[in-house]
Amino acid sequence: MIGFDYTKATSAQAAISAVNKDASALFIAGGTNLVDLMKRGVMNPQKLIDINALPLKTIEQKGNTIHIGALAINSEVAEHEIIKKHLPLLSQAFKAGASAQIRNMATVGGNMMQRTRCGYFYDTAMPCNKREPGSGCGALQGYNRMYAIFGTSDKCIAVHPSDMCVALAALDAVVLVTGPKGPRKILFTDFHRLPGNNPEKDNNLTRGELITGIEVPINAAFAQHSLYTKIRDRISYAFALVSVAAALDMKGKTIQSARLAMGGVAHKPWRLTAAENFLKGKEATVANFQQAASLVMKEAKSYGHNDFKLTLTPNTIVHTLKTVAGI
Amino acid sequence: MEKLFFDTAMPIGDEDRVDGKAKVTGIAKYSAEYDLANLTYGVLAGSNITKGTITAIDTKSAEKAPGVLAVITHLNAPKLPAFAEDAKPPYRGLKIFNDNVIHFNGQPVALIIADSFERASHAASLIKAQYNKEAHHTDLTEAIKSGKPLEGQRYNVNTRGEADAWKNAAVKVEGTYTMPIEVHLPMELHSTTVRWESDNKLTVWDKTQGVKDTQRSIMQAFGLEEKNVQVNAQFVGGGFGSALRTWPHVIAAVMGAKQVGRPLKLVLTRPQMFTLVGYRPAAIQKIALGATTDGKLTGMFHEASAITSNYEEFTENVVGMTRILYACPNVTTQYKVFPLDVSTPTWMRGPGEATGSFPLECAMDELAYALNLDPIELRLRNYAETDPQTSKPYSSKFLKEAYQ
Repeated sequence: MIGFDYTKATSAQAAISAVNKDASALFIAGGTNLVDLMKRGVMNPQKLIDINALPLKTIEQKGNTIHIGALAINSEVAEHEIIKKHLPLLSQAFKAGASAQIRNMATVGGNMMQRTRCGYFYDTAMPCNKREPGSGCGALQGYNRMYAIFGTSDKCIAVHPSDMCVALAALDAVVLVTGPKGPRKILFTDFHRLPGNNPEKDNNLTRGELITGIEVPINAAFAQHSLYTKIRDRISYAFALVSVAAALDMKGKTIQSARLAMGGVAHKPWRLTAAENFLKGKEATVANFQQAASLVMKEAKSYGHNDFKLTLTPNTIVHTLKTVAGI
Repeated sequence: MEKLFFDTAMPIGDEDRVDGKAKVTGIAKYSAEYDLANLTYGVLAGSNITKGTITAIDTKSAEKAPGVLAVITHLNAPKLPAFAEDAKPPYRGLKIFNDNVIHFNGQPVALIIADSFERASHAASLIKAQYNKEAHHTDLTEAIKSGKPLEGQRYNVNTRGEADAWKNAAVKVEGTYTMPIEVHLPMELHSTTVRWESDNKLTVWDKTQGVKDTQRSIMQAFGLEEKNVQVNAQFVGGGFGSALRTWPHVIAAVMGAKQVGRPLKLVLTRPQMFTLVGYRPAAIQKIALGATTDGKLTGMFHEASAITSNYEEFTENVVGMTRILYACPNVTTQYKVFPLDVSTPTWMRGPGEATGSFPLECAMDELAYALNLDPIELRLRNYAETDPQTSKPYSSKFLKEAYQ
């Protein structure tokens, strides 16, 4: 860890301005990922702007939308009455992630900003295009068991590690951001990027921009039939091999509409749009679920140690849909 | 003089655990918790390559970093007579800082000594080594295909009765069982604190499972007399075998304390606990069992392939259980060890037997399934009333009772 300056911001504007004018400055909130990265020498900001005092912690219902402040604590969001009632999928996703200690310190904004846990990214002796553009990708021919099967490039095959983000992607959330040029909204599914030729960029924030909150539309039908499935080596404190967030709007046995997203399979939460479109108006049957899953798998590519995901992915999709639909 | 545990008045009362109160209240110290006057802190920097040689090592930035007192590398480390090629006895283990050869990834290439742990850690990150990198081999599967196992009597095929008897059995099972490296990872990080009392006398607080062994190792490495080497280890925060021998960091700590003329504390980092204090070696094992339709074993075959480092031959009794556990007249075993570009493995809880029992017991369960027999019943039917190797009676054996 290099020496760094540390200041506590008293306003969003001050925080934004400090980060905007200094390329080596970063926001810090819970620090549950950033501090690790600094200790490992993966990220070396010379200045940390602590934003924990900013008034961005509220969780409230505004009409047909749930508003969650960027500094809301993961465990508090998971247990909040409003969230458990209207967005049970999100509550489940939070609880599937990390450990109790981490959930108690991590913020919503930080959960979105957390970086991949790729071993080559973390090991400064290893080639990693995300950490050092142009140095190569150690995972491509390396130990790539926990790696992506969708949306990869030959520069990077890392996955985004978050569970919360998978649920938010499925639930059509919107990210509220403010920056030097003022406030804007970003569709959650447009927030994180695919690696392409610039894996060093995890998301579409521009310099100095600060996440202030999330808005999630309320949908009673989805709330009634939703499930987050996380398949992993251990029952706790382990990242997903694959995970599925599913929500179905059901009328009897017919699916009026579906929301599906996956974790553990791509550089960003992987929305299963083709499957959603296929299931619209279809009956909830195993055959239909299997067909939906096979549509998803058309673009899948595996890298050796993660070949098993080609089977685990469609199986988990079908299993989750069956459970949600109650068949 | 440091008060030993039993010198301290402890209200023991009715407790069964004499050390219980000390442990739960934090009075019991880990080896890294001894604060000496004028203490310095040592951190090891490791190699970034797996095999090759150091062609250059830049320690200037580290030396200039705040609080740094010294940096020791193969370029300036004292040459220990014990490390010489013709030393008697020949030195066993990694000769730390003795030359520029890299045997495994993470091998210590420098010891940084500073006035705080954080400053030493930071300075360690400033060490820049250049290497002549050579092709490395760390994969056991690949070694089995194209490498050469070590030679020697302990690696010979051992056959009792008929070698291929299992092949002619009415019911057979066979399989290949793979086990990765298992690391001890005890709660307590390995650490060594050293204080030289004079030119040839020192006191050490070490995380060790054997103070006499650590004492002997330091005596040998530095040519010291027994009465001048005191090693203290009041409590061990989990060893499981990882502290049964004196590892290179201990020697480095002793070197470092002498170099700076002050007491030195060297604590391994958690990642270093994966490579610098041994581990249970990986193994790939082929096993085959043959039995009659009533479940009497007629033949057993067990071939185990394990790993060691390229600079030390580590062996353990992997296939012994297969020869003695069940009454079977025809048993063939072979143990093979492949040297790889890794650090030396070591004993870990149930060394050898744990490794070998895994495929044996799995295969017995598979055999029970193939025979449609209860797995315990299968074992009872093959219970050895006398030692299968010698036919001698056991002095005592309660395995049957344990099964039941």
